[in-house]
Amino acid sequence: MSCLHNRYRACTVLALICLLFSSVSAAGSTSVGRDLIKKMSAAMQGLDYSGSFVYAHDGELESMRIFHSNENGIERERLVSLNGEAREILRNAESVVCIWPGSKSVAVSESTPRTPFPEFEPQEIAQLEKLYAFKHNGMDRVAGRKVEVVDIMPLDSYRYGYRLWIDAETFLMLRSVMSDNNGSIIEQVMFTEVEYSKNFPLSAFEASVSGQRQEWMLDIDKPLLPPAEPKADIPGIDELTLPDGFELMSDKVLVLPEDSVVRRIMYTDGLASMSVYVAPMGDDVQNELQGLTGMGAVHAYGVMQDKWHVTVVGEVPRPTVMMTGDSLQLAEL
Amino acid sequence: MNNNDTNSVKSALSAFADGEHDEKDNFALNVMVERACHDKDLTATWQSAHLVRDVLQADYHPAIPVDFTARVSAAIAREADFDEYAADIESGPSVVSLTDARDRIASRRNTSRREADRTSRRPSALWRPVAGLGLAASVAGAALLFTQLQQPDAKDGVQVADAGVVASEQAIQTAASTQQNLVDSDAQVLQASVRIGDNGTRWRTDNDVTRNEAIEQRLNMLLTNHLEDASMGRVNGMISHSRVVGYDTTGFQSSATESGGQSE
Repeated sequence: MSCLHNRYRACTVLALICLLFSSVSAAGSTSVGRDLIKKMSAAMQGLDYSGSFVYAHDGELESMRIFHSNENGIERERLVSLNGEAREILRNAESVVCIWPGSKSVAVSESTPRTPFPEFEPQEIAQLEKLYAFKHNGMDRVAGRKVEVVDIMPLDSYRYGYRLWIDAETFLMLRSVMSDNNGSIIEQVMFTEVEYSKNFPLSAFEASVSGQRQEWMLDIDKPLLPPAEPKADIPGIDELTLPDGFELMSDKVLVLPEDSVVRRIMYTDGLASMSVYVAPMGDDVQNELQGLTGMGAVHAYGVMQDKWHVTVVGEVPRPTVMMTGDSLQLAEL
Repeated sequence: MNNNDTNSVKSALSAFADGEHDEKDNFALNVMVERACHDKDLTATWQSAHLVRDVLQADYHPAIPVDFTARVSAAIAREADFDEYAADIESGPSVVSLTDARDRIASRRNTSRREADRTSRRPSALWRPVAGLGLAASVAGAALLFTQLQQPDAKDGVQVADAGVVASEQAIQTAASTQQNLVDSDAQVLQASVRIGDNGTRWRTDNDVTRNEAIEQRLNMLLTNHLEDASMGRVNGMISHSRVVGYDTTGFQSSATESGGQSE
């Protein structure tokens, strides 16, 4: 009898040790995953690199080339499409310029200085871990380079998950897959080759159409409009239902290139973000988004309230933008 | 081996692959093939010659065979006349490997050996019904798979499986009756596999009938602005802008619209 008791006791101790080790291992895996993402964020901003990658979504496949440099803390970037029309986007410390030569259209936006991936406070980490499960998922190989794999799995259907393949040596992200909480892939990006170099000529960061500059291109060099005055003329949000974990991140008024003014209220859960844009209704209602639309992992939802049009945009699933758009009530001016 | 020698052997290998070698010189051919078996460069020449020949003769099968249904039908037809089926097995689809080629040259030198070899590889009469049952069961299995894919209710699929197990006659009937399903399913699978997006990266709605350029360009502008401040922008950097860079402006009637343009 005593022998049996001893056996039970031994089994219990063994089970507790196993439980302790598995929880320590899970916690370790979580912290390794978060640490890798922090290093990746710094690498994406700080390294000089160029590379080709494919972007897949909705049954479409695009190939692109990216150039990135950071000279004395000043980032210069250029992303150009390698198939179809030579669409490209140029980004520097002041602006982000998108060029679509096929339709001779340009969009210019103010760039925001990038900040490193935030250092989360312990309570913020605890909050984040209620929404996502972080996991270091071993090693792999992408673009001929050894990579660490990190999984960020969403715990509900209001946000996407990520699997990230991070260069084991430089910490650059070489592959990224976004999926819903059922594991279905929404979109993915994968480098096919990458080169780390510090000798990019300035021409690498100039628009490829600049040599044959057209009249429609002249606006690129125009100074951006000054920041808008306070939000007095555009209502904020009085009531809103957000998925768990989303909190106010910023609230500001922007002047869009066609001189229209829009108020942007941004929410984030720490990883996923969505913006609510409030603007005066245009003259033609047909030219205002009404309802849901999407492009890859991005969804947008448009609603009208009185004389205001609201657009909710974010890299979040459709239920998230719909819930936000349908529930919001604008404040009275 | 010097370069001239290598080149002449490569030319001879290509000619043999194309069936244009001199049959009187089988000894030289045998030596050449033996050498090719031990020379990676010559092996590559051999494989390239066959690939080129197969592609030119439309005999090249991609990883997913596009004529799967036709081959299953042909196999069922052949099952009725197993002698023909066995002969087909004996002759093989085409000369692909060097080992096969070596066997064939050897078989030309010794007809009796070839006959013996052929006899030994032909299934005996005893095995024919079993082989037929196996083939029918395989087809029934394939039918089960496709039926399950087609019908959410798995019960029907289980009935098909039972029929395949209970008796070969019934299995053959099931295979025959599901032949059309198989053809349809295979077509669907192929259709799905070639359904490559050709609409470009663009904003999509559930009722994706009309597109409004003004709305889409405004959304691009809002998205670009959003991504600049978004949390994952700090992680992905410029990669986040791939959607906007990939955005396809084709499909609109109007052109030269200065969406977001400060000029005009």
